[in-house]
Amino acid sequence: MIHFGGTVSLGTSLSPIGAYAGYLLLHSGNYWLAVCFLALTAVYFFVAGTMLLRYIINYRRLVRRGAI
Amino acid sequence: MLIATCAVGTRHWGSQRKPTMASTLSSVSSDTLTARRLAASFFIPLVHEAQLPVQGDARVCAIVPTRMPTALTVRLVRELTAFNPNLEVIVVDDCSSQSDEQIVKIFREIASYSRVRVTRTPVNKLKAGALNHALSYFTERDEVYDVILTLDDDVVVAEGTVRALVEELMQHPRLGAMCSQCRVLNKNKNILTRLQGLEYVNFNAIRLADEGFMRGPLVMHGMLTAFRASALYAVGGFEEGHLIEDYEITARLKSAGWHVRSSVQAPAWTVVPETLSRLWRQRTRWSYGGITVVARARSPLSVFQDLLGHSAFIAMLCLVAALNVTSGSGEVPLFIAQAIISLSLAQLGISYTFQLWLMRTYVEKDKWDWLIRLLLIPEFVYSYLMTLALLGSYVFHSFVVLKRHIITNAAYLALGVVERGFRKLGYAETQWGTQRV
Repeated sequence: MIHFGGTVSLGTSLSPIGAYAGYLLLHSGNYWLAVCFLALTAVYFFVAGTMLLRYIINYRRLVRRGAI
Repeated sequence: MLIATCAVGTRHWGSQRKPTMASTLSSVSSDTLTARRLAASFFIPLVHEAQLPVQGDARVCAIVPTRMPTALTVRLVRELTAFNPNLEVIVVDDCSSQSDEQIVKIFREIASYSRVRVTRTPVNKLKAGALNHALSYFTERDEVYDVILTLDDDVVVAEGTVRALVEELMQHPRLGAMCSQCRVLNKNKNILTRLQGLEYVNFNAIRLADEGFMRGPLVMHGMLTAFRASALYAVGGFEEGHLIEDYEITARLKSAGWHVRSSVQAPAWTVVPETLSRLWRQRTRWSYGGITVVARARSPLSVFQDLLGHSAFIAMLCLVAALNVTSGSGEVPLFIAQAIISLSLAQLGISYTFQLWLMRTYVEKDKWDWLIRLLLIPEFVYSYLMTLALLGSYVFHSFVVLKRHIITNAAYLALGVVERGFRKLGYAETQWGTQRV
């Protein structure tokens, strides 16, 4: 449920919808839609991953400064 | 007209401002965020090193706009003055009812504290207008401050909150604003308030993650934010007519080149909606207000996180819709579907682990909060409710844009009916920004 930090709500997480889309793809079999969805899933994963990375870095900086 | 008022205000306020060491050093012209640095900040956020020593003599004033003050407003004013011996407080009465005995009594008590003044707006101006009213009040009296705090009227602060905000802000000349940590005062009331308590922990975490990224977090919340006065005056104060003035002013500060961030050493507590209908109204205001800020933003960088979020979310909706209505040839390699499911589940696993780790930062947590977080389902249901509010905001925004292009009377009448329907669902172009109205 990590989101992008904006006013776009928590529900924008791709996790359940992505799994649902994967299930649909298994049944419908539209190649280009599948490629687009994979790209979008990768974007979501990248954004959530980099956000987590920035959090860890900033958190460690705070610890080093003695703020936490 | 509102924008023009602000622009006039800018020149007027600007002429009143006396340069200080901090404002001179905080010139943002030297702030060159190259594309390379921005891209790098995706992975490694920029560092804001303290460049000035702690200034204990900063001139600070707190503005508390209120329309329906309560006992919490009295407590806020009392504690602000008690905890901060040099702090001036101005309470802006935004046309509260003068026939209500209780409200009159509250204002009398507020005005009885030393270093507290009460001023009243001539007409109901909503929160941004009330804040601008206070800024004009200072200008008329030649009062110059280094830091201006803006607060909601139902906030509780800790003893060191204001000091932490002011000291950090004054030490970092590039920062235009610094907001507090947001915590929930009434989180034990019911499951809805507990869910909001957990959500606010996430908000604080995201603000920390966004520090040093695209000039800082997206929103310096209206609950409690310290603004560098020179930055606030330079951008013309608050723009009236917005549903969420805090997001709007943050975007404008960032467009002007200022950085913003939150302080982990400045906790503040607020009262969150306790019923579903009030929560829904708050979130429709936030989500629709957010869309209007993005639509009017002068610099894409200032609303970058939201631009990314809205784009990806709309793209996902379109793709899911397309998947449901199209039938392919069955030539999709199995690994693509497997990769999508695997990436989604991996993201879920990472997010869940992170959420559990975040609980160590949640000071007020108890066993029920742990249970809600461990179960995951309540937060999923809650987040999809919020997504529903967002979807409604997209529809309402499309409606508002359509309405502006309709010129025939008949169509206007029809749209008026639709607008009343939206209003019943909580969507409106203007609302007072507190939970109680």
